[in-house]
Amino acid sequence: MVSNEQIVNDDFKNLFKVNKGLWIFILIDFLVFIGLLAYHLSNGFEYKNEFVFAKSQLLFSFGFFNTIILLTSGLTIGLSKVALFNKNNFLSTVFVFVTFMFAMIFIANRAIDCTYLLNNGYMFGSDAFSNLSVGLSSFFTTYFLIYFIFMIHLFAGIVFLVILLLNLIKDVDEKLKYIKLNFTVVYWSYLSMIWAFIFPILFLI
Amino acid sequence: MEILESIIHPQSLQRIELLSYLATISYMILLSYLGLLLSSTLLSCMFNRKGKKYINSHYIKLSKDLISIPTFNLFASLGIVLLPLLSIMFVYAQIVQASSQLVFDNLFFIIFLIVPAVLLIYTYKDSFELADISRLVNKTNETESKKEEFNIYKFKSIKLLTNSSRLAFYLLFASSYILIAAITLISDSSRWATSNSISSMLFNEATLISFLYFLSTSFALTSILALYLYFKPNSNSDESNIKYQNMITKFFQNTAMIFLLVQPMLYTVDLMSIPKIALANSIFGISVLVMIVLLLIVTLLYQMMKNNHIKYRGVILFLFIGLFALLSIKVQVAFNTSAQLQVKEIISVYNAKMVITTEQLGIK
Amino acid sequence: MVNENQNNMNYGKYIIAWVVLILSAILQVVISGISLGSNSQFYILLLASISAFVIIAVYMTDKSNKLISNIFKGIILLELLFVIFYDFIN
Repeated sequence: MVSNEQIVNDDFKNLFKVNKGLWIFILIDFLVFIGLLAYHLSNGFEYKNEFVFAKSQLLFSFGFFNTIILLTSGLTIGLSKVALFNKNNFLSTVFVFVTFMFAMIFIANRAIDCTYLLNNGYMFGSDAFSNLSVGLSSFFTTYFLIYFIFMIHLFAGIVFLVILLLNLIKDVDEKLKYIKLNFTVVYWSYLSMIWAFIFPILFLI
Repeated sequence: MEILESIIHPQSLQRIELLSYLATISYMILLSYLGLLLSSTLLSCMFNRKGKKYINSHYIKLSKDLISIPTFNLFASLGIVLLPLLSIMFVYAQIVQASSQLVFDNLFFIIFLIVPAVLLIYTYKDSFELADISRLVNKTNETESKKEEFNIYKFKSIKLLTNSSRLAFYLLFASSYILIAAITLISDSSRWATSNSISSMLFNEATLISFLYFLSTSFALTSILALYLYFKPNSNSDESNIKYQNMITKFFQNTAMIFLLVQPMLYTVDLMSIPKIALANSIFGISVLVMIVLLLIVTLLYQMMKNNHIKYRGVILFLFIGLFALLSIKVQVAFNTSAQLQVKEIISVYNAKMVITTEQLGIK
Repeated sequence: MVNENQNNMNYGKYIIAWVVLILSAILQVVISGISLGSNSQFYILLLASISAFVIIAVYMTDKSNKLISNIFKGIILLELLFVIFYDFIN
């Protein structure tokens, strides 16, 4: 019987081929996010008081709760990889499904957060937003920009999760399953990594 | 340290509530890992000594296995110990501020005990391998001078093994005791003004009882975790080691049972030592839940001992994690209740500051 | 502990990494309420970088992509150095 270590070692080049494109995308995307976050930080140095006030208006506990959800979803997708490696297809499928549920909870949290900020007049497009000072409008513009770009990445991640879930349920070829799972794990972990920078810069500093 | 007053910002009510939840999670992880380190180090030292005295290889093997439970990665261990300790320190600094300077100072001092203790535990674990190598090398046919040299290495490695384990245990014991003393003091706001010396903080009935309870929980946790890890699914059980397996099953089950049976009594005494200022309805509700969980754990453990199997070890471990969560919640609820006045003061300062800031910015 | 099948991966590594990440997030939240001089943001970004490092090392690294994950770790380190020197320059 071929061991899982052998499968990984034999398909070393193929796995590397699949993930090389993803890694290049992650590298470029990461630099884009860092640029946006650095711009937000530099605005913070310019409008210190307004940024402090703006942060007091955010739903801080929602932000922290989102962090916990995303980190835990990173754990579950990692555990699904371990489960599949240990030839436990059912457990792997369960973990991927749990990750999907966590992603849904994240989106729901975000919706509540956005609605709260919209009602308080901090979301661009609302009438009250145009009356805000330069510092406050700068904060909320970059805040929503970064958050929306992150949400686009999250939706893409959810699409990958759904495709992976269908593949696991259909019980396709083992090597293909492993490649798709590896791809999703790397992408989802990348989202957690990005959030590890977004949360402190938007909410804490 | 008047520095505290200058560096801490006043906080809003939502933030203080969040901080108390974070402190609960930090307690749960810190107390369980610290207890695991303390009890596994002590048991490992005991079995190592016994193994050398009776020249029993099973005891030495058990000693090695026990110390390998909490020592998975040095940086992870340091992170699991330091991060929650710093979190708890700064949470108390923000909520209580200058009211209890002694607690903050002692929590800071614990860092200087705990980091060397963790490093020494890893040294102890690695010195097992050193001692094995030096024993193996000694058996080869070498010249007299080389044999003498290897004898010196063997002696030094065994000395390192003994000294590192002993020192690690003393440092861990001291840091755990100071931590429990700090936790007990912070839950009693009536003692904050009067407790100005370390001796009044350390030599206190409530501290002693809480520490005894902490020790009993730690030993029970180590035994249950060892049972789970040794017989976990997908592990190859070596049939030539059936005698060893039977020995460790019996030892861990008996240890867990003994330390679980004393828990209800110790918990009740600990509950009675909680000061009136820190009591709340939820503490009694948590106590009822703790007793129910303890009863479940003891029943399942008894079933395993009676029917000579280890089927319920996973369930027992998860119930024990739940128990630790309840104990952490109890500690934090006691603190929240006793610090109500201080929290109200901080919130009023924060609200006043926010009014000034909004006026300055010309908002609303 | 002993008796591990060589053909099976360990759940423990991922769970311990997750615990460290949660603790790091908790500490970031806690120290954000404290003014640690002119470079308080450095400590929070340091913790964020450590979290990112742990995620790359544990969740994203595999036998097939060690080189690229090392490049990524290098970028995180560079970013941290930039934050240190940005404070120093300012």
